[in-house]
Amino acid sequence: MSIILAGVSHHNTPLSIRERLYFPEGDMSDWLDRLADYRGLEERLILSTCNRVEVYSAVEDYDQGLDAIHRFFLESRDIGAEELSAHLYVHREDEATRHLFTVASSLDSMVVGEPQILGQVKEAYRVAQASGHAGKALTNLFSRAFRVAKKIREQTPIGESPVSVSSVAVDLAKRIFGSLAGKNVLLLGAGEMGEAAARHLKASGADNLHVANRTLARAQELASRLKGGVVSFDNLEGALIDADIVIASTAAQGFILDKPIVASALEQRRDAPVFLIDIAVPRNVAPEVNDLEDAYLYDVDDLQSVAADNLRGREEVARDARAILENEVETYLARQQAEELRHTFAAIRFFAESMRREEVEKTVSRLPGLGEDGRETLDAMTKALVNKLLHHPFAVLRRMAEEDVEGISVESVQKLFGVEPESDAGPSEASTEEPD
Amino acid sequence: MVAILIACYLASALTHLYLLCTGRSAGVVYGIGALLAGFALHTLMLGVSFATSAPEGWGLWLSGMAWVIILMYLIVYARYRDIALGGFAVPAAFILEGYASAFPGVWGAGSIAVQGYLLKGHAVLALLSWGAFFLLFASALMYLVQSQQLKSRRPSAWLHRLPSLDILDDLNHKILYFGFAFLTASLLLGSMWAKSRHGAYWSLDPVRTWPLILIWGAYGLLLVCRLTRSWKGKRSAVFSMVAFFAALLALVVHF
Repeated sequence: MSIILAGVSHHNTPLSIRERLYFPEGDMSDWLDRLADYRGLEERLILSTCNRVEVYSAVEDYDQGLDAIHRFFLESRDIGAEELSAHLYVHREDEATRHLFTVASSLDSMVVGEPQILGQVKEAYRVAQASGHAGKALTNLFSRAFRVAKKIREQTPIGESPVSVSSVAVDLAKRIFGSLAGKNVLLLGAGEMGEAAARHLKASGADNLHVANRTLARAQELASRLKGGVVSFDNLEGALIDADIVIASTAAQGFILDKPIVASALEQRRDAPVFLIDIAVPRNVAPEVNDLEDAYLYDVDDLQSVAADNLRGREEVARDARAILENEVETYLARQQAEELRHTFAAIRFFAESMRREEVEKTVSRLPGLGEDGRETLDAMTKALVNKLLHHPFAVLRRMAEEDVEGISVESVQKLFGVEPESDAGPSEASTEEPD
Repeated sequence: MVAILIACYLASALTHLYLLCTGRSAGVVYGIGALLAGFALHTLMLGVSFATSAPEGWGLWLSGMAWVIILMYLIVYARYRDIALGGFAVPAAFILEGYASAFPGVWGAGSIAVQGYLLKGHAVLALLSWGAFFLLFASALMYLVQSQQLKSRRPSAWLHRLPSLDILDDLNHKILYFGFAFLTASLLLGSMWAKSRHGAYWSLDPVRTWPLILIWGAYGLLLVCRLTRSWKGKRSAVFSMVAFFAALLALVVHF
């Protein structure tokens, strides 16, 4: 049984095509049932997010499996054969393993390190497993992928630094104030950007919010939406004294907060720091304000460059993460291979043993004069023969597997002996001892 | 015993520095575990030497200083769950302890044998206050670095390795309280000892006493400013650092 995966992602496929391939989350198990109608897909799983749509399957026959997935996409989604072939990537075995580990660890995401993808992969697996579509092969693969993703989160700081303007602002506020609980936020202006930043701060614990706007009605409207209070725009100096965090996003031309205003507020705040987030264009806060000892001023450019730095930082961390990942892929594949080899040996031994017994019985029935002693001798002789015949090929195979020699695959050995390792005549009954 | 203790502190110091410099969090449990093991051993050893004999020699006092620093760091860690201060405290404790065990009598064993409860108390309280002032210095340094990071508007990775300004200022405040209280008590016991020994509170050489009074005054001034004028943040941090260097000088003069 081998793993195959086919899908599209944000790397090579525009949203206009991804959205046509997207499977809504709600009826995923129905889609899996439909996928099961195609022959050749022993185990099935669909990972469908806004950035990728991928089908994972365990197959006996690679070509048959790929063909089934192709037909499934064509017959269930609104896409033509040519368009599909142009965008669909296909990975099998080692490559499929590596790809899944990379996806689950968020190293293949549009924003590297974003935390949602692992949850989405887990959910996809949960649905497939609960509806009986994921068996042993996919379970092995996915549970390993979850462990690798966890390890990478623990051992690298990937995903720790924020990469959007609002979340950078919240992060900086936390670096100044520690916990944001009980902090006063003053929102100047009723613009959309300001509202988004205020919401973000509120969600992070800064629940004491006031809005000031030139048009009082808009201030009241926004304040009721954000469950905050309203302060008069004419009394900014007073409001500034109480504010720990100021978000400025008015449409004013020219600075509404200059150095003397902030300085006098700081004086009355008795050295308590103030964090000013100026996301207005043109700017609302004079840049000299940052020269004041306890004022920390960030404008939109500052926030964006911090976000960009963080994103670059993540890419550097991703290099470390990929090294860990590569290691994990190798360990996993080596273990899989050893497992498969063991199954193959057991199946061959089972096959040889049943053939030997059959022949011994035949011989015994043809030689009625053979006593108990003779029968035992015959038994021992045939056993020795089987062991001696198998000893050398097994030793060679094991060595080749260890040294990773290309050439003889486990499949070709299985074909040579006409055995299937996971056939019904399971190897569990056969002796798994190695020939001496 | 001492070798195990030093190995524990070294392992913990390296872990703390590694965590602080890489921003990782995976090894915290090892760093704290090694520290707790070392600290337990350290407590036992110091307890035995204080109980059984008159403490003698510089080595023991340096070891005591290391113990105090670790104790305070562990309290801070329990409160804030932040290892940044440990990046200063644990290496300092390792160096003090290592020095103490390598040269136990380097400045003359027995030369400052401490007899009598007054002098013992004076010395122990002095240790506590010096440990606190060292941590005060470390927290002030971190405050200045963190504040600079935020001011620069292009913060580096250190932004996330150091605690928030709020925590650092809170630390500064609390450690100052303790340090000043211990120093005050230590000076009182010291002068009482001088009275019992020489019949006068300030009979010692003025060169030995005045630096200590000045340091007491400096930390006292900082405390008063924090309380009455709400000195916070950067001003307090800079003052703490200057006071620490002055205090080191004063200590050298005192002995």
